[in-house]
Amino acid sequence: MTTLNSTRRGFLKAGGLGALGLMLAERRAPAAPEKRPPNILFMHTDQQHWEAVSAFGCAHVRTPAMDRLASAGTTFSLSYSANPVCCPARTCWYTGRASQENGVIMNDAWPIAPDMPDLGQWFGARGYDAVYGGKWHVTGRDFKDSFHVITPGTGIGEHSDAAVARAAEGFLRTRKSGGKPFFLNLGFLQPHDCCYWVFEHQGDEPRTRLLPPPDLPPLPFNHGHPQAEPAMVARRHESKTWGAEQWRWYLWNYYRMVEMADAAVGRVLDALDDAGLTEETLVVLTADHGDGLARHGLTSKMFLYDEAARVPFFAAWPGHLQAGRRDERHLVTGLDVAPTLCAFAGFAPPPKMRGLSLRPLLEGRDATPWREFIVSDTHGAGRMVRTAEYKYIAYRDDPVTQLFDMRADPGELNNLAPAAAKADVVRDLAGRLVAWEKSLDLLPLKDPQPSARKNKKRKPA
Amino acid sequence: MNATQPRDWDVIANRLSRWALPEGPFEPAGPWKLAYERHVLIPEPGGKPAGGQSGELVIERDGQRLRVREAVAAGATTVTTQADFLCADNPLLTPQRWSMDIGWESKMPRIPVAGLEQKRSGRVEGGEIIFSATKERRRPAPQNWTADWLLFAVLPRLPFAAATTLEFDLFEEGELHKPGQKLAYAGEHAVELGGKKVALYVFEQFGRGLLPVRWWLDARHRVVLAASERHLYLLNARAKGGTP
Repeated sequence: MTTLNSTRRGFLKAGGLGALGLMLAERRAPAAPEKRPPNILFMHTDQQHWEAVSAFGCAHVRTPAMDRLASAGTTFSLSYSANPVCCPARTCWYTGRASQENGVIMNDAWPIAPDMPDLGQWFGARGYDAVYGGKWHVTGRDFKDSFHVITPGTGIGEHSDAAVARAAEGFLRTRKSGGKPFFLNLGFLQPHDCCYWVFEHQGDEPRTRLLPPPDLPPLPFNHGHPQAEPAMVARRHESKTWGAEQWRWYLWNYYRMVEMADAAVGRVLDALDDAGLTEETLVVLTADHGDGLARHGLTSKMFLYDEAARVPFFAAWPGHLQAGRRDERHLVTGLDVAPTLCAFAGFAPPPKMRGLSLRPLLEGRDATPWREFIVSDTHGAGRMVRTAEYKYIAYRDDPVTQLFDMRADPGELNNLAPAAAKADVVRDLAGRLVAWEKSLDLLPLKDPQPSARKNKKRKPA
Repeated sequence: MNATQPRDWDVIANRLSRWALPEGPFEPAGPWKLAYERHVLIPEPGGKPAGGQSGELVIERDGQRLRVREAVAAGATTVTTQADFLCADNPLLTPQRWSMDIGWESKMPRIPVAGLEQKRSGRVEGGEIIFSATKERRRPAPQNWTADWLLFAVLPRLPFAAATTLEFDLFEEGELHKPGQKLAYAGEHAVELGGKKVALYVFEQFGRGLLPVRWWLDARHRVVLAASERHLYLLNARAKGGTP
């Protein structure tokens, strides 16, 4: 898959994907890199719904730290996970390659391609201190082989997110302005603990003796779901027997978990500030995937409705990037993280990046040619094509496809795929999906290996 | 009195089978020293619980001075906080002046933690809380506030009465602001411990930035167990140095 034929070249140009897209996006970037590259602080929350930020208008949550980042930098409204489940989303960030290429197509089953570089190795080999704290969850690669690890955290956000932030704080407070640049990565777990909440509340009986507070959030307007859904999505409704109050109680608890993540982020931002490093550090914060959050009657992730696939995305570098800007136009994906961070660091990203550098957008160069669509996939079966106007969802071997008009129907309730009037749109988006998949260097997958389940150490080449 | 085991307690059922309520007197106003085990609560899909000890907390009260030592295991590393609070003589034991030493330990040579230590302090002055690390940060002091560890000393002084309610802002680990907390008495709860039915007294806490917390106190007003969704503290009456 190394030869570009004319059709594919046209596709890349339109979609803004791959090397050509990268060149287009970078053409107008400053020729000379910064004198000293910035430190990079890449933080991620786990399972954070894209709207669960008070700066974005959510009245049910209080997120002063994320609000601070929003006012100090740029947020992208149309930001999507490359694969809305933990291991694949993270592997996409850290390799810049699609799941079918990096091998991690679902959680804890297939390991990352052993010879594929990750950002820890890439930055470490190019003059950065590559440091990691908290959740990693890239199947088959020991993060100690790629980073200097300050704390691995645990699988429970309520127990250890504050400790992960504490370790980061200790690290930052010892750094000197103008010193060797660092690439500090922090994987906070919250609000992922909501998964445990769901396990414990499978029935409708409240688990606790506590009376729910009177100010429970209301059910979302799209709590219902379309009649026809792909089987893997429809199946997810079967275990949901909650009444309205239990759903609202879930929402209340979920928002508290987001606030825990926010507190950890705030602790880190304070340390960065106190150390005098804010103006020499690019801060990026996003989430691996969202949460059902009662939309479509769902919790959790591994499906392609916006509540799971869409994620918050913040980038701030005071004095260097635009502040207080909310970009509601450009489509962004988790595959953009690697080329973006490399662009700011001043070196080329690993080969065959499938995303684009967001640097031109963050620098306010809005005329930069940009992609017309993004693709996300899930569980090795579901794929989504998102344009500014539509979302098309198709699962392998499933007759149900979905098409939503994202402007007229942002709640994704009215499936237009069967409508004859939309046949051309479906055909066009299905064609883009095929072309995208043909553009990838697919990694042949063998049977999932038990060793991968244990995230057993596997040395990268 | 019908005994019903709180579901939170299932997770540490093995531990509780070897656990007994402390005996001996307890004076809520001190002096006292209590040691707690910190356990994580991890339910698996289907609701089957799992858990294990993941740290410890020791709190010592002597008049308005409270000393805290907490160790929290995070994977192969453990963060240890030693804090010393001088508190106001009010129901929330609002901190007036404090210091903290934060240290790290690692069980893995490949996760070196040297250099992550920190010293912190704080004070209340002119209606502001002043947090000092490598730099000072100031914020207006809320009308009613305390630090999370100090609740272990606040709860024992509350009456077991339906009208008992406190509203306050919390500073978790003395720093992370969690406003809008409400702490209310929720009644007597009979549990079975060591084959005996005993009465415990329950308080419930809601607020921003935290999952609901349930506090169980014995008849002498000693906090014996405090549980949030994912972790709990269990009084260890046999801990070295503890004087329950």
